[in-house]
Amino acid sequence: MLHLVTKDNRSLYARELDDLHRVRKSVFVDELGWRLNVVDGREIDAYDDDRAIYGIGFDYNGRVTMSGRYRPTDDRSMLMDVFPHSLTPGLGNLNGPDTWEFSRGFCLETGGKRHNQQRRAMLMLTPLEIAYACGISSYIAFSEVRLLPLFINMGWRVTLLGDPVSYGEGEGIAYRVEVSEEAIRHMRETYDLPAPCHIHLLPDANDTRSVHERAREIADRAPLYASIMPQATDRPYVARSASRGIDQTRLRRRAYAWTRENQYAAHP
Amino acid sequence: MVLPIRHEASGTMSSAAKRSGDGAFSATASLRLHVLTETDLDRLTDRFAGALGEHGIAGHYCARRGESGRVVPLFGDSPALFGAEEARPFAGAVPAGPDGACAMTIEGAPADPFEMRFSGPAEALDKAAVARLRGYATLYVARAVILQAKLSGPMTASGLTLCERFILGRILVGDKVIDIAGRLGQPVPTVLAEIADAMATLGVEDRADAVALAARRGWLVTTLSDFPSLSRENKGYYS
Repeated sequence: MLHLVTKDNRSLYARELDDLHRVRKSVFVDELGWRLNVVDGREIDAYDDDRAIYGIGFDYNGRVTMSGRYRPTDDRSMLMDVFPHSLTPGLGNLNGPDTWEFSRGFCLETGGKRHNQQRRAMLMLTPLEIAYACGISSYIAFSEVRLLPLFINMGWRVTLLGDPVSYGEGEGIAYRVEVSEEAIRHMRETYDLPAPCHIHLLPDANDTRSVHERAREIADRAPLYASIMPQATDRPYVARSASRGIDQTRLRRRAYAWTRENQYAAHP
Repeated sequence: MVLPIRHEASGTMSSAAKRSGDGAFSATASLRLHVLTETDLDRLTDRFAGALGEHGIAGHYCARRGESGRVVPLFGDSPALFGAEEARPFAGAVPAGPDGACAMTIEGAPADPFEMRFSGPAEALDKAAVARLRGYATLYVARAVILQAKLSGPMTASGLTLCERFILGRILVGDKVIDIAGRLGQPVPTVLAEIADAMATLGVEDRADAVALAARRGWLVTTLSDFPSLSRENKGYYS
């Protein structure tokens, strides 16, 4: 299940939050080419404040493998502050008390098994669940265009707020996501997910176990949660770094051809 | 929500992108409204073609290109664009010649990449217009692939395809969409698109209403000859 990290339980997730910011740096800065603030190998911005809520998923070894950040917009939002040029003129101020912003969403888990699909779906369902519980009617967000079809395919009900614009190493687009009981029910039924599909562990002075041990205990008691727990066989994601573009097979072929062409030069 | 259909920031548009006249991008705005939700592949293709037209591009076609180089034509309004083997990479900075074709690669997840070819643009496009077209092409391909995948099912007298009747039938017996998709060997979005299509055909706005209406009319199907529930290893599966 997804772990919900709020200002009330951050003390439980100190190591995990540090890992989260390092993974965010590798995903958004190293891979997507976004120009973001990096401090000591961690990607942290002005919206990582006390009001930010994180939904974090971990792999079998307790490393961060998926996450999303949800934040109220009644004071400010990244979309309005940083990407106003991506919005269709005339939309006005999108910030408000009934709107949250979804940002820094990523998923490093692959695999087409039912379990893998459910885990990806829980990453998309949790922000709707928590926002709906807080009386929120929509999210606003700005994402890579190529990721948007994945979000929609998972069940998000999206309205575009502008045209695609150039950003990072690709194109980004602003959009709104509907938060409603119907949207949540639809996703939950489609992917056979428990309600809710996240846990919010609180500090307990008498409980010295890690958050992962506590999560496993919950899963052991509730079979529906067991299906969305990480498994040892989950396939890890291979980051697309700058060096990944080299096709090793092609490289060997070129080396072989070069050797053939130059062997007489080396041994006349 | 009604979005304005005029780009007030027309000062950022390239000369090619202004060719629709007074700077109004009505076709592009229409594409923005419908590219995620259009339920008909032909209409979607027309909308995309209209937006391209506003950017000086006369035709387009999309194909899936496998690693072996094999090209599978998919959709678009100008199939002839794949007659020529090679096309100049789409950059927008340099206009294509009168018969020139530009090619754009769109990542396929998780399958092979798609190659989109354009006839044009007739004039150079600026960076903003290129990003706009690349972005919409990505969204167009993602939606069109889903719509095309469900066109293969045979239509029955009820107005529903056999696949739609089957999916509704499996929902009635308690299957989850994720399980139906897994057993049909199709992605979940394709099954969801089938359900949405069935709901539109039946004129209802809720999945449960679609199942109930089809059940009352005797249109539901719960088994198919090639469905795994009939195989030996699934004897215990309800069918």
